[in-house]
Amino acid sequence: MLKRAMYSLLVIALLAGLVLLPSYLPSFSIKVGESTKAVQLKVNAKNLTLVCPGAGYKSGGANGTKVGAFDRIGQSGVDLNANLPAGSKLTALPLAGVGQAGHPVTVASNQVNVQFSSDAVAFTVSDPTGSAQQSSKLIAASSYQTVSSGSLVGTLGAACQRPTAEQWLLGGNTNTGRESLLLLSNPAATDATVDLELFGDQGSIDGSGLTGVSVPANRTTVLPLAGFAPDNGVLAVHVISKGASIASWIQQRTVRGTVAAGADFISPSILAAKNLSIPGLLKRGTDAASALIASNNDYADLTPSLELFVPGNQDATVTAQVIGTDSKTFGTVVQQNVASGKAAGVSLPGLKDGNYSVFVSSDQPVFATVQFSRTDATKTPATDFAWLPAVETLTTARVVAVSNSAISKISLANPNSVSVLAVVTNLSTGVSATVKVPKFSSTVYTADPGSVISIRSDQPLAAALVADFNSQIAVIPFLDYRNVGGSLSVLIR
Amino acid sequence: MAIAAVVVSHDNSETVAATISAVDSQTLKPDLFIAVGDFPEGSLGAHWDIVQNPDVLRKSKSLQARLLSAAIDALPYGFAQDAESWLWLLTEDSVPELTALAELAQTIEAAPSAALVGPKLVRLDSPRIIEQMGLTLTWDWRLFSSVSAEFDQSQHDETEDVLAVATTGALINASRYLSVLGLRQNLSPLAADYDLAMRLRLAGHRVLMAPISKVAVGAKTKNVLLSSRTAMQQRKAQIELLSIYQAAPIAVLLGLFAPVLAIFQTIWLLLVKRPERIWSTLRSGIWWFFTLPAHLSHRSAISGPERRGISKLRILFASREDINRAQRSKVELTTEATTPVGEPNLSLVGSGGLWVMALIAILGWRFWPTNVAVVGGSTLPLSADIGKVFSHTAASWQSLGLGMAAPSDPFNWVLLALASCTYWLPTLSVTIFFFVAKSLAWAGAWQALKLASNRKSLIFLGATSYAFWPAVTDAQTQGQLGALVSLVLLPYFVFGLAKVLRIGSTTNQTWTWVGVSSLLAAAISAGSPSLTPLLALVILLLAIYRFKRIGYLMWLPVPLLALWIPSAIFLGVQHPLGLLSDPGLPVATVKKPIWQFLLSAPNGAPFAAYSGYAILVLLAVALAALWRRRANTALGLWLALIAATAAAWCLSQVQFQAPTNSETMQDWVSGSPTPLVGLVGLLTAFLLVIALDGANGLLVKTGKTATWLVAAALAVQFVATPSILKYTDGKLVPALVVAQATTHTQTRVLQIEPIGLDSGGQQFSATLITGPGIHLDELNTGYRYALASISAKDANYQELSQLVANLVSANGADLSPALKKFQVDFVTVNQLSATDVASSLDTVKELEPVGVTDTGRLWRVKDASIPSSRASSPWSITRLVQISVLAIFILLALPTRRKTKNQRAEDGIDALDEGEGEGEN
Repeated sequence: MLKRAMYSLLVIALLAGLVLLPSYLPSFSIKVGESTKAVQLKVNAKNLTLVCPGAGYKSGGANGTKVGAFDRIGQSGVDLNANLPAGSKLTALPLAGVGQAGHPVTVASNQVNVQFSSDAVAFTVSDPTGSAQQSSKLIAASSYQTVSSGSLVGTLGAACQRPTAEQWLLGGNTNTGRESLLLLSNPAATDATVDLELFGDQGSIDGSGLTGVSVPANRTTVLPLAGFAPDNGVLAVHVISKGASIASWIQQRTVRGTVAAGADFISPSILAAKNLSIPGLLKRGTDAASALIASNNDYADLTPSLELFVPGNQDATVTAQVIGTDSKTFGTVVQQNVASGKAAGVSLPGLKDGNYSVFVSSDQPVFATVQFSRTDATKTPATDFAWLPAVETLTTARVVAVSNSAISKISLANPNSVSVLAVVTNLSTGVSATVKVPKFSSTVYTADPGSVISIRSDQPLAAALVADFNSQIAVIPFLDYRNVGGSLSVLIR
Repeated sequence: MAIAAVVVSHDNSETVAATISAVDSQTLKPDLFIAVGDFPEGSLGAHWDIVQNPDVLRKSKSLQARLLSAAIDALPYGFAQDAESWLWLLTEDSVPELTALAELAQTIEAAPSAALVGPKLVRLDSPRIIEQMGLTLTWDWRLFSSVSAEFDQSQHDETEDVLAVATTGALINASRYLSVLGLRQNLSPLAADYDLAMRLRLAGHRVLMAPISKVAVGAKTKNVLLSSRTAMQQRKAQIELLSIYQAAPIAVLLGLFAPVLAIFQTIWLLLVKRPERIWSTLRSGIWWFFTLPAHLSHRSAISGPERRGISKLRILFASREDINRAQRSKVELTTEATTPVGEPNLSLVGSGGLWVMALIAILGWRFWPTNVAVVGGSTLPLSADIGKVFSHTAASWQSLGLGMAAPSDPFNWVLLALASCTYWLPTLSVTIFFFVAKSLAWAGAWQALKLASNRKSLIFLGATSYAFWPAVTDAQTQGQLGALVSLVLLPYFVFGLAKVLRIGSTTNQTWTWVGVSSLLAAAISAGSPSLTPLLALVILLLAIYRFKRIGYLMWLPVPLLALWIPSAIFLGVQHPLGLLSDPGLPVATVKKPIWQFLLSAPNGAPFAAYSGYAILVLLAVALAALWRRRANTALGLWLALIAATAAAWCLSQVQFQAPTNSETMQDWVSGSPTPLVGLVGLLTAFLLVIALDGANGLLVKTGKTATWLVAAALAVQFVATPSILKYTDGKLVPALVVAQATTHTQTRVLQIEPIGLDSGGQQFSATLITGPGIHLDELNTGYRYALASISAKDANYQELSQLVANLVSANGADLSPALKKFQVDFVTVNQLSATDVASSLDTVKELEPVGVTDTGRLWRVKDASIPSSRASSPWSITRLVQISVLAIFILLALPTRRKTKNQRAEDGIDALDEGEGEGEN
């Protein structure tokens, strides 16, 4: 009996010691092995190229009925800013459609240029010495075209984009009176072969012709999405290129009956994420829009809508908060379950005129974009729309060239739980302003026409430029971009 | 008839006095009394003639022959030439009965042609036991005594003619002895006895037994008995007789191929579980080869006509019935002695264990193989064919990266064993293993817990608590293959070890269990190196506790050492603790307080906060074991449990270097405590059984109920715990690469991944893959720890880094030389979101885009030369040694149904093993 009691006490004491002793011992950690060090290298990056979409396309030929006929209308304007170091050169290569490929043209640097072109143009900074630090400060370009031709009326605006091998575009619409044209521009010297994946509100859309689409070198290919996915109110397009990196847009056009009702370019989305910031919802003409909606249901899409797509194979629960910039603008909150592999449109009703930003949070990575309209009953056409992309939150400086023929406002969206100080600099004049953006809110700053604006911040911030061309709107996100290169480290495993 | 009694004493022994006295007291008095050697003062009467022969005092091979020669020399002239003169040879410690000589003489009178008559040799201290009666040979010339160590019930008193007899105690006709030139001094004593008898027979004389005549032999004379000869001595005698009497071509061939035959015999000895005879077999084989000429020269003593009579001698060889009968009389005794009465037979099948195993498998239905390969945690698919898996065992060259000389991980042998189960698709075995692991763990625990109790319900309970122990669940759901293998095998090892040590169980097949336990120890150690030190300590303590079994225990670590020594040499100096790294992909583990090792739930398990209470209940019940009948055993188990927990905590403080994973960004991973915590689970199961075994009082009933409830809760938790395992088709690289690698094994893929942003820069990882991907059997701990230094020092790695940088930046640099140098055939980027890298690679002129595949984007290198498959020998010294050791222990472990009658007869031939003299294997 005594022996067993002693045994029990011994075991309990040892257990107690086991539990308590480590907290009295000095903590120790033994490392076995050495971590492999990455090799630091400096390599020249590939020349930075930005591709601008060029002028809008009119389909149907001269009388509008010819199938497969897509013609450029007019010319687009490119607001370009290049800040080239010595030894670098900027060339512009028009990417002609059917017919001859263009030839590169050297562009004067270190100033704001306004270029006009009907074709898509590839601007390339050649930097043989590798001294140029690639970013939007090196070159920034935006394309605008206010078009008024038959049923294609509106302002087509897009930031010129760096070509990549893969893009997601969210927001096409192929319902009656809506046209979506997929524009694929290849600035490379080699042909590209493109595979497309289309997703609608019912899921993946299969069809012939989606794979192996040829985009010849230095040319643009146009594909009508209605040929693959007719009568879809919301579309997500996955573009996968091999052979060359390409730039892509969806040209979206709306016609209500015989009344042209706006057009815009939809640019590629940033990577899917669980948290996204969409600045730039500057709503105007709400009353006029409401009257139109009440008179004709076809105007229902004047109400802003949030377009969502969930890649992967897990459904997502998405919450979108539309936050006003001041106490007088009341936003809204919507929540939606979105099935994986399906695109969905969520209406954002009840928003009065004001400045808003949209903050999206989800339990799965999602793509998101917002369509909004501007209505002015005194103008013809009375409505135009634009697509607000989700913008990458950054702290580093990014630059946008502002059109000198539009009223341009910069929307700064802060998704953080602390306020952000953003320094907005007019590179043309050198004047800087420090703007405080409250936590989880947004601020609007007016940009001087024709200026070059640089924004940097102490916390990650999303920014977009909303240009109003006489009630016709276009949105240019503040981006940064660079090719892989410069200071790299490589870890061999 | 004149009889000369010759008594030989070697060392002035007092035991010779009994011999002298017995000779003096014979009912038939010898005519001459001759004493040869050294005798105590006053032990010899005046009638004794003393012969001082220095040869007597020298122990030498031909002592017996020289003694007889000395004795004959001492005889009066003409005595030996008389046809009726007989010599009766006795040594010290051989005491004839009073009528022994008379009986021998009577036999001679009845058989005038007899030249050699032997008595029945009985045990001095127990005359009812016959030590030996006559000598003969088996069909394969093995020395055999038809009667050996039997009770004398006069059952053999009819025996007359025999092939040979021991000369001690025998009556030898002097003239006939001299006519065949006596015992040959150049043969071993055993062979000489046989040879003399056979030559006498070939000369037309008879060799007889006189069963009624008895001579008792004591301890010293025992060494003239066949049963007391060592295996080597018997083997040498056999070889000598074969060489002399077998047909010349056969004798020559057998001698020339003796070493080879010895190797085959070694394999046979392993199969029949007589490893203690291996050494003598090998030695004798080599000895035979080198002494063949000498043996063949002995053939000249047999003339041609005599040789023709050898076939007639075969009638006196032992028949199968003689061998069986001789064995039977011994086996029955042995069986009675070793089978304990009343040991219950708890069969897994008979107890419904298979149903439980099936139920457990059903509970783990989500581990059902929905595809051929499983990935997740530390697990990757295996190579596509069994030949490749074999080539990765005990290899000295690792093809990871740019290749390096390093030993393979011991775990590759475990993978080979698994792969052999589904040899047509090796990786499927791992997939199936994950499904059946818990059932196997349960079955193992069942076997082990039979040592602690013979109550089925308790064994069920303990086995269930072990199978659903959180650490076992963790190993399964988190894809820790090595830990899972170890935890499944651990109970079987405990069971085998108990068999070897005869703890809680007995066996006649100790060597089989030695083989099994050794192999299991090697497998457990390979799967979970962290278990090795603690298990070694436990075995050492058990060896001290059961010191008599040290002869078996010393073989236990042999396969383990054979597998680990190359890695120990490679890692030992710079990273000795690296030997404790778990095999497979490094898996990050979370550091926890020590108490959480005992009480925590599996990763991601529901109700994790409450499962600690469940384990607490089990531990509380286990504490009760200290109050039961087997308190000492319980204390030992508790101490082992505490030590295992402490070891788990210590291991978790060790950070092992891991190759940076692009998804986890881990450079270092903590040691995984799962195997040690699993050991805690097994010890707890034993303690539970001990605590609940015995009388069914209220407390015991409460404890059982609580334990059952906890086991059920753990089972539910297992079902609800999510698994990170994914089932795939086993492809690690795109199908195009697999197709090319099938015909060209040196196909290389450069895999590039961005691994996040550095401050002001970008970081990429690059992996050079040779063949169709890096499979589980290609991972290597040596490479893992050597990579830091070789990548820093080897200029090729610097050059490879530059190539990667140029590829991802697509800056137009000429990449052909570097791509050719490193024989890169394909470039791949697994992360589809790495569009920047993909965009860059698309513009590299040396690459041709293939497109998006299941495993990422792929580019082919243009103008890549088809790599030639490097022919390499599958054999190396390391592999040869490891395979040999493993094969030996596998043969040892194979349970062979003991053909006890035949086998024991052969045991009886060389009954005195060089190791054990007991009756077991």
